[in-house]
Amino acid sequence: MTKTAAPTLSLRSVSHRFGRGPYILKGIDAAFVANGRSTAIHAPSGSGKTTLLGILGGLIAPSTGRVQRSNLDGRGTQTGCAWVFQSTNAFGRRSALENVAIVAMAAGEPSNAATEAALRGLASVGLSSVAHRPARHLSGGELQRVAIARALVARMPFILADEPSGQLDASTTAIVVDALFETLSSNGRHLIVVTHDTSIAARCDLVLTLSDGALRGA
Amino acid sequence: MTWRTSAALREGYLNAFSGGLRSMVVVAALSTAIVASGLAESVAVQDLLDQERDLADAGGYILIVEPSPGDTVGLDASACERLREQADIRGSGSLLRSSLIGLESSPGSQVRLLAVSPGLINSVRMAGSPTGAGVAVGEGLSTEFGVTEGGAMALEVGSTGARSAPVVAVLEPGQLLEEANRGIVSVEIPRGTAERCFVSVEPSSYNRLREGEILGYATLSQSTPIVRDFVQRGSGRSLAVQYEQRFTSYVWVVAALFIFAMSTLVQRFRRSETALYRALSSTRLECFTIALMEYLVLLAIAAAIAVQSAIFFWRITDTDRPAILHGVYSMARLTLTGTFLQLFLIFLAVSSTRLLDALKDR
Repeated sequence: MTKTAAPTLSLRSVSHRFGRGPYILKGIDAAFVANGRSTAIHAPSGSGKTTLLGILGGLIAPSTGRVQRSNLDGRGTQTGCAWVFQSTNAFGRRSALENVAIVAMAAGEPSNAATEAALRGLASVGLSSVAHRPARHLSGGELQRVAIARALVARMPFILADEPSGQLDASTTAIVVDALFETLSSNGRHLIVVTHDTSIAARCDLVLTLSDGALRGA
Repeated sequence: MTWRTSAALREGYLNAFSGGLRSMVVVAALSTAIVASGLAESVAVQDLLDQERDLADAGGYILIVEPSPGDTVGLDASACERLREQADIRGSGSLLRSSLIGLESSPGSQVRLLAVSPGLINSVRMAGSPTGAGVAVGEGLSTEFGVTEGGAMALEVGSTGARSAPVVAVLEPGQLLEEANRGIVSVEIPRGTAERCFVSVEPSSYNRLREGEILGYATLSQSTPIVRDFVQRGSGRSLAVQYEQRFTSYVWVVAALFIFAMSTLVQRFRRSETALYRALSSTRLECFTIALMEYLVLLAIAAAIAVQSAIFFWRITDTDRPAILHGVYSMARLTLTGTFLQLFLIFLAVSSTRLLDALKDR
């Protein structure tokens, strides 16, 4: 039986600058494989780590270099990346359930099936009780877990978390971070966390440091 | 995630109805702009129509007939005069050409015909002779041009104003006419060459005659003359010119700019939503489809409100059909313009390279 190759996200000589400004990323080469592992990108503020995440997630086209996505077939995705932001994680007027079901609906799943999948996703992050509450009435931590549930339902191989503890208190941070690392249990994902929180970085399998536009192993 | 087209359209539809205040603002702005454009146009056109009707009733409009381009001969003034003999025509007159025209009146003498103000000469009658046998020459002009020719005739000189009564002058052969109008009058008048012909018609036949159904146009000149639209006696402007110069020509531009400004505002709010779709791995085309569908749904609601409001207004104001048609055309034009603006703005929104900032800023 042939083993299916794992989804891979690679950066090839990626450099980036905004407009005619200085390069904030310089010739980065990196590869991330959806093999149940996690990577922390640790860097001070303003060093370009969110930009790097944006390039990985397909929200920003690099000035030079290439982003290669391979073996994403059958994963129902363009970029293969699900995001967990600090704050903007959901459509405010939709319920938590609708915010999660949207990815299943987009794939053309019937409404009932999409709703069931969304309920399972919300249950896995402990949000069953707020499933029908409008997203704008949820707390920041709950919204981040909604995003995590959506990533689970969408079966995205890469989960990009941008400062997940940025606006949360300690107890909520613990819940969210636990939920993030829970997503690795299926062994077919890779969690990439941009953070300056050393405790989160310490839980990751690999810690990379972004310094002077270059990515280095810690 | 890859959106199926049907799912993307459904998403846009859901966004339209779950948009809350944003959707309401868009609908209100669109419907206001559309109905304002339509009503401003129809009111302006209706005003012109009413004005035209009133002026027509008061004989305030006259029809102008001019020679066709390239016609060097001009119009037949007498034929123009005869137009008044038709039913439904109140009166007609002509403006004679002001240039000197050579006229051989009798062997050995050159007489020149000068312009004569229309209406000043009521009738010219040769005493004892049939019409067309001689000329009447003003005294000063006789000296100026060395004309001694003169036929005995009775010349009834009218007046342009109501105060002075017509003067009847009976001329003997060789006698010179006092300079009543400083003109040399051919006995062929009112036959002559006219620059323009004016026709005043009965209001009941106004529209019919405006369309050029006045009999006898063909007799005015050798080539078919040009029938211009009715013009106001006072301003000399035709209805068409007044329509072109109406202030509502610019209303739809203002309304379109209003939509643009409103849309820009809405797009700013939409930016983070678009960014979230992009973060959900949607392509730009999918984001565009979703936003476009949302706009079309809102536009349909706004258009329905606008049309209903306009119909209500037109009914209570008893607006004429041409004014309604102009209003509908204006609304359609604005809707199309607004839609193109929206497409452009949506394109800009989904193409933004700063979407990540929108997600961080919220």
